Amino acid sequence: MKSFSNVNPKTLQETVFLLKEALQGGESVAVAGGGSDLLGMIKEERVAPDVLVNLKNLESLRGIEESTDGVRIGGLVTMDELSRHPLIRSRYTVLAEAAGSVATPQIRNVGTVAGNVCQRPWCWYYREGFPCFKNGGDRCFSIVGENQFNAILGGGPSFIVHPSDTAPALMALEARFRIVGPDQERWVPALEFFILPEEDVSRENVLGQDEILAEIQLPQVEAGTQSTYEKVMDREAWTHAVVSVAMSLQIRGGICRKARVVLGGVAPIPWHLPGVEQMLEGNRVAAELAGRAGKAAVAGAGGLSNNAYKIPLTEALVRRTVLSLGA
Amino acid sequence: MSKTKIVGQSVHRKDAARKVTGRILHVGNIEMPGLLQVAVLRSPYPHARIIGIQKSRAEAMEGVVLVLTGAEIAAMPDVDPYFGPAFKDQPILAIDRVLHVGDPVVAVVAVDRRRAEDALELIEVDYEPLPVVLDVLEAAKSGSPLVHQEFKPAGVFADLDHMEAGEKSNVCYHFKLRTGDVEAAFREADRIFEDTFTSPPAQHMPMEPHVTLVYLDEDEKVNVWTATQSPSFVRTQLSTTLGLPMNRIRVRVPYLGGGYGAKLYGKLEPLVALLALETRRPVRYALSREEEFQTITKHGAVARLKTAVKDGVITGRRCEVFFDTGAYADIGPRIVHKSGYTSAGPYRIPNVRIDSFCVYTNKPPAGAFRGFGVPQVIWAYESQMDIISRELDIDPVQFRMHHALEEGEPFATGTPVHSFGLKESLEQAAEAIEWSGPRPQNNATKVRGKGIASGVKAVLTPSISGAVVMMNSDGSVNVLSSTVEMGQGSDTVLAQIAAEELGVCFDQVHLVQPDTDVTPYDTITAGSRSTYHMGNAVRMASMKIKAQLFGVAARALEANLEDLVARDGRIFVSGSQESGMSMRDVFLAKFGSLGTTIIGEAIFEPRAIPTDPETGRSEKCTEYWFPSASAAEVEVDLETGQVKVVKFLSVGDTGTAINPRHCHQQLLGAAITQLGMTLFEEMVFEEGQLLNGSLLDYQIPSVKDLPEHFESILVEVPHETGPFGAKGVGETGTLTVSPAIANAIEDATGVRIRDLPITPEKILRGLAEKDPKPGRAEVPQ
Ligand SMILES: Cc1cc2nc3c(=O)[nH]c(=O)nc-3n(C[C@H](O)[C@H](O)[C@H](O)COP(=O)(O)OP(=O)(O)OC[C@H]3O[C@@H](n4cnc5c(N)ncnc54)[C@H](O)[C@@H]3O)c2cc1C
Repeated sequence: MKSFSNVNPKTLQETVFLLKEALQGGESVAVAGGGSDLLGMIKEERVAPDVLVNLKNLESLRGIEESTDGVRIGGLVTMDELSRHPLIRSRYTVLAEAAGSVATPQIRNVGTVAGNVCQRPWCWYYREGFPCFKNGGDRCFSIVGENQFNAILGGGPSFIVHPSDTAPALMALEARFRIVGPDQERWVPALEFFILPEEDVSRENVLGQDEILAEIQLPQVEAGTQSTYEKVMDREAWTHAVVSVAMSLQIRGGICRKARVVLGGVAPIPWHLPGVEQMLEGNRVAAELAGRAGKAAVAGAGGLSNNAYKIPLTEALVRRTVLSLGA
Repeated sequence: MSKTKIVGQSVHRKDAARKVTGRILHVGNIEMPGLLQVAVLRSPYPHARIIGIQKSRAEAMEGVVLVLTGAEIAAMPDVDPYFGPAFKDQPILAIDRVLHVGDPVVAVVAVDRRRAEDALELIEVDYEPLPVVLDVLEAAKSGSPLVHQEFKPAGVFADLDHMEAGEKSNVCYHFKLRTGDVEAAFREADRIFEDTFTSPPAQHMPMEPHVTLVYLDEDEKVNVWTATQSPSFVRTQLSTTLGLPMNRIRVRVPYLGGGYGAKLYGKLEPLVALLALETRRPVRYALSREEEFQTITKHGAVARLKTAVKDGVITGRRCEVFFDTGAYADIGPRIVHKSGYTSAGPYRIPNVRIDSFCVYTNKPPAGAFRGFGVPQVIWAYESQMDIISRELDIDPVQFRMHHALEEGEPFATGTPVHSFGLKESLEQAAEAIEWSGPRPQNNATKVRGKGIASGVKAVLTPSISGAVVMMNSDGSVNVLSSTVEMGQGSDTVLAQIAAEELGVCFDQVHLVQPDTDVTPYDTITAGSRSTYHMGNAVRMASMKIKAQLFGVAARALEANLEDLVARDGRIFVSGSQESGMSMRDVFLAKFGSLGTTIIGEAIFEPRAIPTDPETGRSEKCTEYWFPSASAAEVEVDLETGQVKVVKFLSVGDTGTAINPRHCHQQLLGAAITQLGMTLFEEMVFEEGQLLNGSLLDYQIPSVKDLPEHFESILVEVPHETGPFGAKGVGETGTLTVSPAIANAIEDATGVRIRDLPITPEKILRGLAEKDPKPGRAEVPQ
């Protein structure tokens, strides 16, 4: 393991200044939230920063607060806090369920929401240090290799899947992310935060190296809205989704007024399904519609040698989730 | 009412309170002044020649004490650079070639682990990649790249004496069994069934990875603290490796954080002992979880079965089993032998031909794993038993009952079976799962089914256990045994046996932890052998003490020896109202003083007749058998392919249960292990490199994955020479889990899975192949 220096800034400004300064000095940087993923990556030498900027002292990045515009969630809020918070549980159920499905109680106690959204892929080839695209190499080993957990949608040239459970939920809730850099800060809708490998294979989102995800804003939920997170795992705990769906439906008088559907575990980014949403909106939620939604969810999906089972699995999951929310 | 007082009671574990309060000693907790730490540079190639190693930069690093290579070890006088229990095929550090990814190449000793690891990055090794063979069937073919050029039998085990260096091939051991005329059975059969079943390489996953600490004491004696299941073997191994007399080596084992077969024979000890001798300082090497995967694994296996049936009865069976032993044989040959002769099943089959092969590949070495190769063969024959009975439209339980061996009938080896509660186990399993009850209810997308499986394993034979029992003048007892307490409860059970025989309280018996300077030889703590073998040794040694006590008491009480009874710490005349003598009185009468000890010692050494190298036959191939049966009810989600084991019953013939609760815990714990092997666990390789070598990616079951209804049932068929009728139970629960679940899945879905683990992916694929009906989503290709 390479030596690095650790800094614990106290303010956002100081944080981004330190990042900028280090980068300008030719040093590599990494930002730690709970560190539950990052420290493992450093030990395994997937990343080798010169400077580790630890956010733990940034008090302003903590807390969940309600306001007239909705709810503000600090980037350092832990998975455990999110999954237990009464307001999140009652009104933003999909997020509480997603956060509660992450890993193990120990990881949920330290893992932060910003860290969860920004976590790097868990593809075996990437994590084992193969010279793949994500490791700066020139190919994706999963295409002809062990691809049972890789992408069926949006893949190419890399076929990783985005591992975050909270990201699909935040997209389904139309969250907005406050991104703070040394020279500017901006708000980016969660739906536009992630980028496909065909756009930039070296990263999974729009963050620059000197930027951090500071906080998350959830809009008010409209009356009649219900949401849920369904996650299929190979075993019942301590593992990422094989396939998951985050869904929010506003139903009045049996008719779906508004739908948000985002898949996890199937694509290099959380996979938003606007076509499925349009199909659901304005229609009566019933078995037939749910069946069509399931089919539409996997339209265009393609399997590699060992992951095609995810296609019927995704279809079934979407159909069942529509039905369970519509019930 | 049973005549025993403590035997048969579910007394609490001796070590429980200390374990749950964190007060138990493990090798990792031992502190020592000047203790050095080790890191090892490992091969990135599955097969390569070492061209050169540059290590001077690492040696120059501050805090680094020693950097050692295999070539340097090979040049040391008196040191044998190769070790291994079956073949001396494993170098302490790679000498000229590396044979698997993760093969140890250079060891660094430094003042702390961090520095040792940093120094690894300063070492440069030049490799020339060589041809690789990874697939076990490919490796078994002639003409495939050779992993080893020559075989050097270690000469350790009497039953492997007939092993000899064959022609050049990766098959390092071939077990043969020939009974009757299999070809004739196939010619005359109505139906012939041919199936291939596979099990992948997997890992033991002990909570505590391997760890060894070695130091030289003031007498320059080599002191070893190590997490091993075989302290006696480790001492012998080190004596050979280092060229030192056995009494210059002292091996001690504190409590193990689980073993499961991973910690047998020499592992880290030869290397760490050398490092301590070279640095003349205490040295500890503790494996990381990642290294654990590269150190020892469970054999992947391919089993081909061909079975002849005539008039609804099995008349012949041919088994060909290929065990992938990886780059070093470890105990592979013995596994192939012991599981080999059981591969046709515990059934009455007149014509049997078995060929079981131990095959080298360029993968991490495979060794013993709870069940010793038998779960892999039971996976095959019990899956096929169901396939056949379904095809013939015979009830699978009846089909098995019809073929099951009964007391006194010969096993495929010719050995008559004794204490063989196979039918009883099957009956119990069938009853508990309500086999003849109504079919479980299905709903639209979730279907249920039931499955059953039975099987048997033979205890490792021959093997030897020695014990010394010392009674003090207050009646307290020390038992000196080299059986390793690794969570199975041996301290408790051995104390129960000694207490019962000596008539003292359970709490008065103390187990001395394995220490080769103190505790006598024991072959290994493995193979479900300790309760029986060490139990017998402890009991025999206790009897010798009792004989001395009774001799004194008979004189003092003016009674006949045979009328005396020892119970509750007193010796008295059976049936008399007199209170007799306390142990203290007996000691005073014998020695005239207190502070004295009476010592009993015994060696339990059951005999076996080696199986014939050509026919595999023997009148006594094993000391005892432990039949097992499992019953499962599963629910399969037809849309996601997910399997939920709703109900599971683990049934085992344990002989007389010395401690029933322990037996239940063993049956359930073993079933959990094998549940993981059935549904999740598989080491996945790419070009010889492990892809899922972490606890996140290599999935073992979590508590949430356990069956909703999960029970064990003891079938107690006493063994005539077991201590109080006991047998063993450590592996029983692993044996029949996988086929019971696969059989239940077929019952539910009509899909037959032949390759472990049974993943949702395989089930969905099977459903699509079976029934490509429109409307059901299709799985492409
Ligand atoms: C055993 C195991 C199981 C897991 N299972 C799951 C699972 O089921 N579902 C799931 O979703 N995840 C899972 N994970 C991932 C886990 O959720 C993450 O480790 C955790 O949520 C990350 O939070 P953290 O605060 O510890 O992030 P860190 O480890 O601190 O950081 C993770 C990444 O995010 C970046 N980062 C962190 N904070 C910020 C910020 N504010 N701005 C910009 N970048 C930032 C870091 O640089 C790093 O690249 C698992 C991880 C492990 C080790």
